[in-house]
Amino acid sequence: MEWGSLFHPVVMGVLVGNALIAVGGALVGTFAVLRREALFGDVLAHAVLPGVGLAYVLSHRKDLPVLVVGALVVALIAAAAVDLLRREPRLREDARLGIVLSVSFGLGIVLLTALQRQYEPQQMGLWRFLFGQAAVVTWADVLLIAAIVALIIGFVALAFKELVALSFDAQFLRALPLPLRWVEMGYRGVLVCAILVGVQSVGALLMVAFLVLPPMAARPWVRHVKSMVIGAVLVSLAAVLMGVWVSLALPRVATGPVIVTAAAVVVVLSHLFAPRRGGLAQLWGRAARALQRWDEHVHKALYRIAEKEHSEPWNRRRLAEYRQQGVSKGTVVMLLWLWLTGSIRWHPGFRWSITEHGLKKAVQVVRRHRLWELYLERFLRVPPERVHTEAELIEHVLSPELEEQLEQMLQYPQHDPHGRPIPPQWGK
Amino acid sequence: MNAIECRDVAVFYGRRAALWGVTCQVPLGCLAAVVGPNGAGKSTFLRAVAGLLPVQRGEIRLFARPIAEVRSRISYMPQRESVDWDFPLTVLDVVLMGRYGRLKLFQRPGRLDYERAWEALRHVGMEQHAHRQLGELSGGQQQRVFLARALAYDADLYLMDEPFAGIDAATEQVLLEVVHELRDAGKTVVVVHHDLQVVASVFEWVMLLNLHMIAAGPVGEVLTAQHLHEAYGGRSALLSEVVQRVALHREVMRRKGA
Repeated sequence: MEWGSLFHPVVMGVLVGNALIAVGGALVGTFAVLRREALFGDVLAHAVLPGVGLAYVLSHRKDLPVLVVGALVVALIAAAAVDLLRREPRLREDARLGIVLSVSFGLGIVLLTALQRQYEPQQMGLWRFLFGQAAVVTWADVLLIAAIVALIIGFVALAFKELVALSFDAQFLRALPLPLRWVEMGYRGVLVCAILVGVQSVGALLMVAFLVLPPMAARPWVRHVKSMVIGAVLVSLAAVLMGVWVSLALPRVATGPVIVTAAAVVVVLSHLFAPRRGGLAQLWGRAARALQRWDEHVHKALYRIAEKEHSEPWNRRRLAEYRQQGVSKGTVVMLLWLWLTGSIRWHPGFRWSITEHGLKKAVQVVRRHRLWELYLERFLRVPPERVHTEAELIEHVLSPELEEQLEQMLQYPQHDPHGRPIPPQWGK
Repeated sequence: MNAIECRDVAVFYGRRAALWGVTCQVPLGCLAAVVGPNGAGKSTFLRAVAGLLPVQRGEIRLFARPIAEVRSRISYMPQRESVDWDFPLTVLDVVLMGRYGRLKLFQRPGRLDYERAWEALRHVGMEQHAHRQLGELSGGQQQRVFLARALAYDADLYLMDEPFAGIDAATEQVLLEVVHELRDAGKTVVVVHHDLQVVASVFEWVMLLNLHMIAAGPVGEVLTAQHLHEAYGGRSALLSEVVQRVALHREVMRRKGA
């Protein structure tokens, strides 16, 4: 495959054809993922194989339109078979899909191998439906693909409202006086169409990736279905571009699988780096919360010192004596942290005292700790000797609003169950 | 005229009977509760009335008509847990779905629909959350969204599946207010409920269900010690066995019911 560059007409044909396929897959796939029936698409993709085999047997032609019609018919039969199996409530959904998928795939292989014995294999062009041949998409194919993808786009735009509502809460919608059968049939139709055009490029085995991966990559970044659809389309286009470009550089590597691999890489990166929902964001959040707990424990120790010695400066060993949970080691690091964050002040001879900023923070933690201890004793009837360990955790999660509610419920108490004073809110 | 009239209704899931021989009425404009133990068929009953399940035997009539003719007058509110709340939609989007039954297929919601949706949101005290994502809502807020969606539809019969399950006190207050307002406006409200105490103090009409309808009528007549024992003291083994056997003869059964 000596193509030269991305702008070579043959390469452009491959690029445009696969881009169209990817857009169709991403559009329909978003709904397949939201409806939690992506595997249903996989069943249809595998049913394409016996479809093209049958079309060839009947017509002795291997033009794409003829094969597409055959595939369409058999895919719809497979879908009907799944529906039929749904009438048997003892069978679970995964079993139903598994049965139809494997049976239709098996039939397809039987047909194709039988045909291969009978005819010259290289004349067949049918095996491309198994593994796909993304690199042999011609401009004639592109026209057909474009027409089908235009159909998909048109339907999704027309029925967007209904498709979204059906994905979210089908039961509610079915109780309404709407002829939803048309929407469901249309959805199934475009699902089959998207799969049909995709299978010849990436193959029956990989087609489900075109449906599932782009919407999955988009999901953690979006807040709305509309942006999820757009995101999925962009991801799929990027994957196609990467796939075609890589297979230009490495001519022996099949384009379709490279596209799928590229999409998978995007999914992983997306789930790592997405804000809030992403893996790194979650790790960071966990680390930040651990730091907060540690910081608050240290401030509690500062408060205990201040309680006993007022504003008298103290040294490192004094702080180490107040070993709280999670503050057992590393008083040097602790002091450095407190000093850097402005909670303590340095005095000559490496002695320290708490600053106003530090005291404010410390008061807050101690208040929450002691209020919660009292709440545990009074309302949840926890024995006084056990309230401290409980409160060690809860003090970090109380919000100012909860703190206020708590104080109100306890009728503005003065002392905790151990008889220690509960400090008033800072500034009061 | 009755809002709901069920005559000898049976619903099967495959060979398992969920409802059998259910006969009951709900008068127009009353606040009715469906109660019974777990697995008694309460949700099935509600879904059958909403026309979501095929009834294998008997007949359900709403406002003295077949369900299919009066779909525009009934609003069904599924259990909160039945949907994925991590769905990429906003609160307003979901409430607008309540208007879909007033629109034609593929028709976009217009200004009136948005007005109704906002009205419903204000009604349940959720207007400040209109543009929040569903995933950010608490359980009580989710229930309010479902309530607002049902209200936006503006129906005559409201069917609510376990709306009081797992919600905060404020949402419970809102729900109680809304169902009373609906009743005062002449609407009929049927609620699946699990708390007999609340049922006795709030609802006027009760349907006590456990596979079959043990009793249906005014609260005082239905919630008797005898009925409650029948409903909660374990399902009648005899009836269950008979119904399981009936399931094997469904063709015969259907002919009789028709």
